[in-house]
Amino acid sequence: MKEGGRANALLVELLLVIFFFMISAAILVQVFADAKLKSRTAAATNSAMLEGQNIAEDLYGSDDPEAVLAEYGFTREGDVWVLEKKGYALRVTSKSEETDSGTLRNYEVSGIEGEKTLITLPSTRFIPKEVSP
Amino acid sequence: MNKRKIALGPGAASLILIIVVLALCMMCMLNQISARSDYNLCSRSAEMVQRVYELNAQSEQKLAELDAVLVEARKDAGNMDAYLKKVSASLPKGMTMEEDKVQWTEPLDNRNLECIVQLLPPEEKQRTKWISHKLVVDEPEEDWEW
Repeated sequence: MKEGGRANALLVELLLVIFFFMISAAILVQVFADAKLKSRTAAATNSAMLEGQNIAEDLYGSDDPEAVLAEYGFTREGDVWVLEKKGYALRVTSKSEETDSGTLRNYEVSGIEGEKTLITLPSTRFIPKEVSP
Repeated sequence: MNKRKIALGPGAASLILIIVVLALCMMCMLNQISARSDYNLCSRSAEMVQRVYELNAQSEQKLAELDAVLVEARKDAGNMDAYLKKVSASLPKGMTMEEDKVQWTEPLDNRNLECIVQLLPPEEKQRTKWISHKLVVDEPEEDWEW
């Protein structure tokens, strides 16, 4: 009788332990998942920043920016150039403003993860027009 | 046959649970702290890079404004002195002129993008030449701690 009561108490304790362990595990898994997501976003931001800087500088220095984008592997989707990378995507939009003295060439390089914009780097260059004095 | 019996006394399972959960919590906390600081560092770095690029873009826009003034001034400017006088009279806001050099600053927190361009004589096709385009960082504030 005494032995049976002890076994029952042990069983109840084990059940309670399993129950609390499951609750703790559920909470901890969520926290781990959140940390992993943050790490992934940080890595994507870092990569997008480095790649975006390279592209922005290349676009600034180039006379034929579209050739530069094609060389990087960008594909054109309407007015936007898109490049899919591991964990993020790069988008480049362009806008040119003609003035009396020259052209203001604006490029915007954005790093995107899902719907979230990680970084946006503007690359603007003024190309003066030759005006006879 | 000598059979050893493993006895699991009352409370042993609870004790093991507490130890395991505490260890997991500790790992979780360290992981979260590391991930968060990584994320914050990356975000701050990306924000600073973005702002520096915005400054560069602004400086190019200012150069475009200045160039428009130069084109107008060149239209009926005879010699270099008359040209410089005309430019000086209609210099865009925020720019200063010293001899044949025009300078302006793009501020960002404790950093400044200092821009200096030289105005070339009206006879030349090129109107300006970059002399300086650098990001200057001010001294750290007093409460700065290494």
